[in-house]
Amino acid sequence: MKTLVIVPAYNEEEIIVDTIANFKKNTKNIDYVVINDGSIDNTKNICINNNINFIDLSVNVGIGGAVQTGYKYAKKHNYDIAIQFDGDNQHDSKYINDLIKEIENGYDLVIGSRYIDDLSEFKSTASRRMGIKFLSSLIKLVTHKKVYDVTSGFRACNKKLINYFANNYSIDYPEPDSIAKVLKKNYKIKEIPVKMNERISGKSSINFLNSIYYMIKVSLCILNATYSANKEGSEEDEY
Amino acid sequence: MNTSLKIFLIIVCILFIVYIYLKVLNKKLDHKSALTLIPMIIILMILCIFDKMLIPIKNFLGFEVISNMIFFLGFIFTSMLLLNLSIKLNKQNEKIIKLTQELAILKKDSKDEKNNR
Repeated sequence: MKTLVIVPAYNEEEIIVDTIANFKKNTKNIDYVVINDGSIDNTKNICINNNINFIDLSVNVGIGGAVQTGYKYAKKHNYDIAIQFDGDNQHDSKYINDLIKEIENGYDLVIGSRYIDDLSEFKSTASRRMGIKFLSSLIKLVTHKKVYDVTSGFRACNKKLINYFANNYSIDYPEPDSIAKVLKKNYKIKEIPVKMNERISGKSSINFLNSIYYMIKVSLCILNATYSANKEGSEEDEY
Repeated sequence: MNTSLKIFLIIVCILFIVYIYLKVLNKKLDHKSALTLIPMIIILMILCIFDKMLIPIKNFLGFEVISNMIFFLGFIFTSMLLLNLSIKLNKQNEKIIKLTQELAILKKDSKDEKNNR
């Protein structure tokens, strides 16, 4: 199956080369594309100098907008599977094949999870874990299905969801929101255990100051998922 | 409403209309936006001039004085305007993101095509 790994990157000049090297070491015959989300550091030049395949967004559109660019690209180039993979080397590319295997087994969305096994020693800070548990319970309340690692940015989806995400994707903090919508639309989701590393450079898109805004905004999005999922177009929408 | 407050409010309304008109002349504001703002100000001005008309409504709604009611109406107009502007801004933001994404993909495809030749 034709697979594309989407690597969103914003100001990742220190780590992007290692991320791609790590990815190439563990995978074969899988395309990748870095989405440079209007970085203001040297990320773009580093991509050019190291022959990294990348799409350059002229302005910063946010993590959701960057990932959606990848889905639009995947849709345009007829990929069967798209995998989100962070540009900060937090994700371990060894697990990419496990994600692909589950898509081939018929799941629509496969999430690499830190919380369903003890594979990952890094499980984020206590306050974030609490926030993630809260969002996970909220998703259970709305969709009646349990997903543990709702903020994981390491996930794979099939063609149907590539088409859906290319047209409908939240611009900021998109992961929990998209999980709720996908569940509401009755797509099949599976979580598999993966190992994640602590980020060694760059900045997380969620810092302490905006975490309250994050929780309120994401909670609202999850609660609205039923309405939004019905209102938004299906995967057959035209690009 | 006492006469001095009435005159003050009317002068403020007239100055605001002139200011908006000048912005349109200088092409800093489009006609569409001006035509949303000016009728609102004119309505407020008419209410200031013929404030006696509002006495039955004021009594019905329970306002103490007419000026309170006019300021409240001004607040409602302004809030509606703000909401309208936020909706427009949101739509424009979505359009900018879509354009940025499509431009980036087109640039990438055209670069790849050039390299493959």
